[in-house]
Formats: sequence, structure tokens, C-alpha cells
Amino acid sequence: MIGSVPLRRAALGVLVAAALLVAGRAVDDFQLRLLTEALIFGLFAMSLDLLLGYTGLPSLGHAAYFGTAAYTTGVIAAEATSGFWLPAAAGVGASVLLALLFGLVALRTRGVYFLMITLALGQLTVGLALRNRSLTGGADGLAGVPRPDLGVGWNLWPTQNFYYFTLAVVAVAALVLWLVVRSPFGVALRGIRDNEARMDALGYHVWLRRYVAFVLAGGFAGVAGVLFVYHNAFVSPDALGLATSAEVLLMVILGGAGTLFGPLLGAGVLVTLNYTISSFAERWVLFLGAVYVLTVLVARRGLWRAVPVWARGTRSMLAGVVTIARARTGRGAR
Amino acid sequence: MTTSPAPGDTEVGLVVDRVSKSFGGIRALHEVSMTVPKGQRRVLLGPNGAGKSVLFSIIGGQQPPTGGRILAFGRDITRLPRRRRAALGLARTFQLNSLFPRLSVEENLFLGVQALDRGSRSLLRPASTHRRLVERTDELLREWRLDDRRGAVVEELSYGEQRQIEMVLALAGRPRLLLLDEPTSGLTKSETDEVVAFLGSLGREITVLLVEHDMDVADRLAEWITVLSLGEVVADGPPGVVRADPRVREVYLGVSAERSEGRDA
Ligand SMILES: Nc1ncnc2c1ncn2[C@@H]1O[C@H](COP(=O)(O)OP(=O)(O)O)[C@@H](O)[C@H]1O
Ligand SMILES: [Mg+2]
Repeated sequence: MIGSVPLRRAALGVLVAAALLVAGRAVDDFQLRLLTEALIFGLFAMSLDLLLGYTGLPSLGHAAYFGTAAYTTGVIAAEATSGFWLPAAAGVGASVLLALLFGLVALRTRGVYFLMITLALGQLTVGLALRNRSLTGGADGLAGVPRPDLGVGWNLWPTQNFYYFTLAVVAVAALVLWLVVRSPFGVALRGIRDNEARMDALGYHVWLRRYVAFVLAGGFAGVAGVLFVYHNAFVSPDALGLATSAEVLLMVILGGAGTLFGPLLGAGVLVTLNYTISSFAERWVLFLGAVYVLTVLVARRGLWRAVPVWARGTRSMLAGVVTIARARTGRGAR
Repeated sequence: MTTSPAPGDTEVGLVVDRVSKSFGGIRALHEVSMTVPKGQRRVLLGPNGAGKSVLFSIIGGQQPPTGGRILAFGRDITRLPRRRRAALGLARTFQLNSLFPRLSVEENLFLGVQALDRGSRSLLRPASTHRRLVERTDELLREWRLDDRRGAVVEELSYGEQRQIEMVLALAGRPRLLLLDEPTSGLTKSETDEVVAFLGSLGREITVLLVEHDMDVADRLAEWITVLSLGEVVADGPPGVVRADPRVREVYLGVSAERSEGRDA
């Protein structure tokens, strides 16, 4: 069937979801904060995968939408209201507007030019954040963003509660993205990725579909940005810039571009690594480079696609061990 | 030139009206005119570099002409966006396969099927639940005996299979005007026979314009032949008349004979 999911994959998904649900009660606060961050960056990476993996558009400026939402929500939450819906809607709305605007410029190009123009547009937002000190706090960033009040009597200050809140939002967003990539629109995006000229000859409005994908990707990056600023209570121009854009791009490639859930895995791996080796923080970029090279060498198509291969490898290895063991015991018995 | 229907006639499928095309100083087409009645199987013959593929690109809208007009079903489409031409019922294949290499056979055909369907705008409903689209895709898979290949990734198919899909993709949206650029090139004898048999079985609601190098294939399909050489029409008429034309023998058949000898060697 078109876009159907192999049963084993689906089973794996259910397993991961169950593990994430249990984790909220099973691990300590530090690990839970780490997991929360992994989920947030996971959603961010999934939104980029819609562009890179499905539509074939390599953006090096995707942090612009993430950071714009984080700033917008952060400013409103810090200055105006402790409610959730207004700051959150404004944050996502700002990312969507930015994507509507930047998409008009960026989608005039392809390939490496697209990479360069999205990079330039992203750095433009960094410049804006640095300049508008009174609003954004400039290079110092925006601090003291309080956790929102959902208005349903669920306190989001405790780490565990915020974890479950994040898990719920990311799960819903992931479900929507999953529906999108399986829809006729999603199949068309992959068609555009593979062969734009033929899609055009077949009668598709290629530009419009790319534009919709671009804006959707910006919007979902915005959802991640809103979660990020509430999680972190702080946002700086770093969240908008090249380093963040490159990192999320690496999450997608590491997890597997065009797999949607792979980038979630890639984000989990990179966020965990970032915490574990944060003692040599100045080497982080070097380390990311090494991870990239390793990915390209060992799992070029990403961890998500490599998992079944490894599973098969492990199984045949186990089978081999069992056979040898049996042969030995057989010989021993004789 | 032999008589054929005049422009503006409702029985006319395609009109090429004094179309010219230059690339810098190179003249690829010079005042090419032809009229294809609805439902006709027209073969476009001509040696390599005659301008056949360039003419297809102009009809398909992949390139603008330097001069002249294109009319489809009585409507001037010279400046019409490509997707509007497709919506009018125009479909084409390419001389070099132009497929979706990383998608499955089924997904390739699905893309052909949904191109002109409103269902393709659906954003949240799984593709597999769009019954009309899925049924048409299944029908094509059966009709072309690709059923057992439906899950295969296209880049892993044989050349012959890919060439076949190139054509099925164009047929998927039920076009009224079908342009085929050397559909049998590189195919084996039996694969070629299959394509010829299929084109013979197509309904008369479809007008077919076909570029063909193989004189034998052209003979079996053509109701009317237009011969192009160095960007100009040198002959236009029923197969018997065109074959007997000394100019055609000179510009095309000579070359063709040499080529098929070369190919056999
Ligand atoms: N994009 C292009 N730029 C420059 N010259 C071209 C281009 N496309 C085709 N031509 C030239 O136009 C002429 C006709 O080419 P074409 O239509 O491909 O021939 P054929 O009849 O074999 O299909 C050739 O001389 C070719 O080199
Ligand atoms: Mg050609």
C-alpha cells in the first residue's frame, strides 16, 4: 500500500512511546530534563526533515523559526501574561509569518544556493535579535521566562509535569506530521524531491507544494521553539543562529533524512552526548564534526534505517553463537 | 504539402503553427507547421538533431518558442503554464527516462494518477484511503502486468521496465493528447512489440504524436507521417506517400538504413 508502515516499525514506535511514558516516573529530575530537551529538539528535527528528507530542500537556517517562536513567546510570557495559549499562538504565528516571508525568497533557489540563502536569512534574524536590545535583551538573551499556566489546574513547574506536557505536545505534532507525509501531498513532496521536472510536466503546482512544506516546517519548528523557551526559561540569539541550524541538520542526517522518526532518535543521541561531554564544551563543534563523519561512514542513511539491519545482524550473530555452543555441547556429550 | 484540417477546426487535436526556435545562433526549428486531427496516430520522423525533441518541449511548455503558436483542441497554449496544459489533457514522455528513482513502482504511478486530481491537495488523509486514486493505480499495475513489481524501487528496475513506466506515467491521468518521445528506444524486440500492441489498442479519444526512429515501428503505427530534417518539415502525408518521397529517402531513409546496419553490427 502507498505509504503504509511495516508492522515491525509500528511495533517499535509503540514500544518507544510506552518507554517514554514510563520514563516520566522511572528516572531522576536531571535525566527527565534531558529527555524533555531531547523531545523538543526531536520535534524541531522532524520539522526540518519535512524539508530536507521529504521535499529535498537542505535548509541551513531552520533555527530562525525555532528561535523566533521562542523569543515571541518568551517576551509575551515575561512581560504580559502567565497564560499559555496567547504566547504560544503568537510564537507559532510569528514563525509561520516568517516562513511565509522567507519562503518567497528562499524558494527561488535550489540545492547549495538554497543552503546559502537560508543561512543568510537565519543570520539576519540573529542580527535583529542582537539589535533590538530593549525587547530581546540583545546578546545577553531573554531571561526569566516563567512556566505557563494552562488554566486547567495542572502545575507545569515540576519537572515531571512539564515532561509529560512536552511529551503530549510532541506526540500530537508528530502524529500530524506523520499524517502529512503519508497523505497524497506527502507523496507529492517526495516526487518533487526525486524529480521536479517530471512533477511539473505531470501537472503539479510544484512551487506551491514546496511553499506549503516550507511554511509547515517553519510552523512546527515554532511549536518546538515555544516548548524550548518554557523549558529553558531563557533564550539567546544562539537559538536563532547557524550553530543551532547546523546541529538540527545533523540530528536529521544522523537519525535518517526522510524517515520522520529517525530525526527524533538523532536528537536524542545528540542531546544526550551534549550533556555527557559538556565538560569539554569548547570541543563540542569538533565533536559534532566527528559525529557527522562517523554517520556518513557507518550509517550513511541514518540510525533509523540502520536499526533493522543491526537487529538482523545481531540475530544472525546470536544464531551463530547458539549453533557453535550446541555443536560444542554435542561434542562434549559424546 | 498534403491537405490536412485547417487551424480552428473543432476536429483538430494539435496545431503547430510556424514554430521556430533558436539557441543563440543555432537554428533548431524553422517555421515548423503541422496539424494533427483528433484521434490520429501521427509519427514524427527525422534523423538525430532534426529538432523533434525540441518541438516536444515547446508543445509541452518546457521551453518557449522563438516564434509561432501552438494550439491544442482549438485553444492557443503557446504561453500557457505547463500544469494548465496538463489539465487540458496534454501528457508527454521524455527521450531519456524521467522517473522518481527512489520511489516504488506503485508510488510512481500514484503520482501520475493523482496529478490532476483534487485529492492530491489532501494534507491529512492517508494516500491509501483515497479509493479512486488507489483503484486507478491498481488498474494500471494490473493492465501493465506490474503487479508483482509494485513495491520495487524504480531505480532498481531493468531499463526496459523503467522505459515502460515512463509511458504508463504519462497515461495515468487519462490524457487526450499524448506525446511520446522515442518510447521504444533501447527496448528488446518483444518489449517493442508490446508497446506497439498497446498503442494500437488505445481508444480514439486519445490523439497520439510519437517520435520514432525505427521505420518498422513507424510503419505499424502511423496513420500519417511528418518528416523533420534540420529543423524544417520536409514531408507530411500518409505513410505510403512519405515513403515514396525522394527527399525523405535522401534525408531520412539513407541515414536510417546506415544506422540500423550500424546497430545490427
Ligand atoms: N538546450 C539546448 N541548447 C542548445 N541547443 C540545443 C538545445 N536543445 C537542443 N539543441 C539543439 O537543437 C537541435 C535539435 O535537437 P533535438 O530536438 O534534441 O533533436 P532530435 O530530433 O534528435 O530530438 C540539435 O542540434 C541540438 O543540439
Ligand atoms: Mg530527440
